Amino acid sequence: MESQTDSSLMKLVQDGDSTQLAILFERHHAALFRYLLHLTRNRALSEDLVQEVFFRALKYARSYDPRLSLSVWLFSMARNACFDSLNKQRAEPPVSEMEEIRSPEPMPEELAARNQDTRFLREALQSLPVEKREVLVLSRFHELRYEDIARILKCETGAVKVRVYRALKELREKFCELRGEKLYDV
Amino acid sequence: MTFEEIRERIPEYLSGRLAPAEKSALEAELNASAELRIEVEELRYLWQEMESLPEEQPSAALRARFYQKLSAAAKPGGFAWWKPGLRGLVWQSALAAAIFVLGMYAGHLALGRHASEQEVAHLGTEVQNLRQTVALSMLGKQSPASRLEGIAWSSRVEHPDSDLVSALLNTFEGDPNVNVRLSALDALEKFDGDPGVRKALLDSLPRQDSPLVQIALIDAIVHMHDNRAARELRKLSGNAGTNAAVRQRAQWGLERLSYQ
Repeated sequence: MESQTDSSLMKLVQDGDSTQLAILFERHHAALFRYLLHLTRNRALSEDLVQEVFFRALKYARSYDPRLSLSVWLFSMARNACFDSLNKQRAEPPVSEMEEIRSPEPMPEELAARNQDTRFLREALQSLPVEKREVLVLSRFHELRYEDIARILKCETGAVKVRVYRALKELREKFCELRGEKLYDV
Repeated sequence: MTFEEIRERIPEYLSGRLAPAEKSALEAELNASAELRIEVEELRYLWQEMESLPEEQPSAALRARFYQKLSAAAKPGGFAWWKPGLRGLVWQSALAAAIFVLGMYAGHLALGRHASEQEVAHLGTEVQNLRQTVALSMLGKQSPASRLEGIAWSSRVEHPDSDLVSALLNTFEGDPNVNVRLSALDALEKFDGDPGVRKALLDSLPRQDSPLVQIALIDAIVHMHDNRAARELRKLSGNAGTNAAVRQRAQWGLERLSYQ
């Protein structure tokens, strides 16, 4: 059976068949969770926000334009929900108070393959300011095109290009600091 | 194109998204500039390393909560139930509403000029107490979805008292549903600094019979860096009757504990 596209499922939701949202949830909730976790650095809050995104998707289904990517629409709503929540809390938690983003521990063979750089990289990424973390996460982990990131961030594509580069550069600085290395002066 | 504009294209170059003409231009600069070559190589290393960062996964409770709410929303007039998530439980809905109203009032006072710090703190405590009451109530329900909801509520309590921690431990120890036990363990992991919780989790290891729960518990225990777990892990890893994946995980746990 041919799988239905996001847009066709969303059309059914728009027509009142809210159960189709389940398929969209299965397709997108893990990616949204990861995006939100990188922004909030809080698992419980990120899960609450994923719920909120799908609640908004149902509530505002009619505002979805099927010519646009559903991912971009959902990421935009996730971003809004996240910043609404962070604004209510007044500030992002400082790095020292954040939950460690921890994954299931690796099996022995994976453990051998892991190196200290992965830990440094994770720490460096978590210590970036939220706006830099966000563009890197969207660009690298979610592999979104700059045009799509620009729609989510409500800015020009050119600005995304500059932000991704600057974020990557700052990541390198923090990574080198953690490694105790001196940066090559470029 | 300026040198800075070329450098701004490095991420696209690393992700293979540059148009052929732009790629050629950047590679021509790379050939001409050692400085740029070093920068690109350093950034390429990070870009590739990012691929190796593990993908975080949401807990099982998220899916359970979503389907519970979607199921309620799919029924006529059910949409309004999505937000509170306490469908069919009138008094609990009232509690949720009370929490909301108290939260709003606390926020109002926090912003108001005449509110004392004590008033705001008092209301904050009330909100936390009500959340805890809802969590305890839901944990005692018959339906696994309600118990998952209870665990989710418990995570919203900033400083749970011993009753709530005990209820979570009892749920983890004896709940017939594996997903509920896994979620309870997830919630308990944030109390791994509490000696009572650590001991209860360690003691629970030989009693758990689900491989999924056993593996998750081994992970939690190893994360706690508690060497008292070594004896139980040795037993598990050496017992031919234990599930092979659990044995392997126990062996892994022993190795991890020996490194710590």
